[in-house]
Amino acid sequence: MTIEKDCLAVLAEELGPAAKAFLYRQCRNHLKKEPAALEKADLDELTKWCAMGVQMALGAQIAENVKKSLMALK
Amino acid sequence: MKIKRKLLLSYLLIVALFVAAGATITYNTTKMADLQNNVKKQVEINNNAYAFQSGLDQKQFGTLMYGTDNTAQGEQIIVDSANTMMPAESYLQTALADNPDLAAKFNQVVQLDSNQINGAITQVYTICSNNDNNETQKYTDIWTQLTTLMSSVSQADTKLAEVRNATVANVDSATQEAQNYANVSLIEAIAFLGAASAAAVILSVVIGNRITNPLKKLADIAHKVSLGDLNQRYYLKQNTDVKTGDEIDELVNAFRRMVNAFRMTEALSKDGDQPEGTDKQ
Repeated sequence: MTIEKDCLAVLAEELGPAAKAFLYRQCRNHLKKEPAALEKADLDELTKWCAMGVQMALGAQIAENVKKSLMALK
Repeated sequence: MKIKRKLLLSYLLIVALFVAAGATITYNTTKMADLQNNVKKQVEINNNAYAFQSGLDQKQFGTLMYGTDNTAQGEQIIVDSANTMMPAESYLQTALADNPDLAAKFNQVVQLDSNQINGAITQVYTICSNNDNNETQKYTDIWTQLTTLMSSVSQADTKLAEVRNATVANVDSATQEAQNYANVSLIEAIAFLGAASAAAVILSVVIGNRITNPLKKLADIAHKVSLGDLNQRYYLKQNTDVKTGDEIDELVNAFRRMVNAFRMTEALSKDGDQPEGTDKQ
């Protein structure tokens, strides 16, 4: 599995069908790259932005879950 | 635990209660059948002891007739008495084998019959067939033997009465025991029926509530979400935090994920491509 698919799987646990759009948006806007080009080195930055976005939209508890799950991919 | 497994376990619990009730009642019924067989045996022993006793009395009467010049009639009665006593003796020897006390008493009777009673009868035969003695001496000797015979028959009657009384006591005891088993069976049947009914009601209420309560809450939240209230995710989290581990749990998680997706989609679309907050970092 690629990093993109791993991240999608993790995000889909909390965001369901919105995971893909959310991941694409955070990658393009904040990491300035396509999700397919994600590397392990990007995970720290991606985790930070994803957790922040989820916290704003869904709350701290879900953001914490997302953060832990993404960090586990490292 | 999955709902199906919970229901199956509840069903098995109730079935187990009925099986336990069935096993207990079957055990009691088996015991009662054993007691019934024992009662039948005791009655048979009693009847045969009575037959043996009648045979002895018959034998005594036959000897008396034989000794008082009614030889043909007396002999016939003695032969008839032997025919009555032989099968009774045979049955009693076998049936009393497992009861040493009664067997000992009956053996004493058999000994009396073989030695004293039959001995006296043989003596009467001998005296009657001996024509050398004068009549007075003859009847004196016969009377002596008849006295011995009557005394022995009386002793045998006493022993046989003890055997028969013991069988009556055994029948009373077995009847009482059977009555106890019947009472216990009735109480156990009522107790198991009550326990099974109580278990069925309690399990129905508990499992029913555990299934329907979360579903009712979920239906209420779904209704509100369908009207556009996406903040229901907070309510959902607070009220479904208890993990049941069954399909209801899976349904709640899926529903929560769906509400999250609505919420995130709404955030992503709020200002074009920007989810709220993230563009400000």
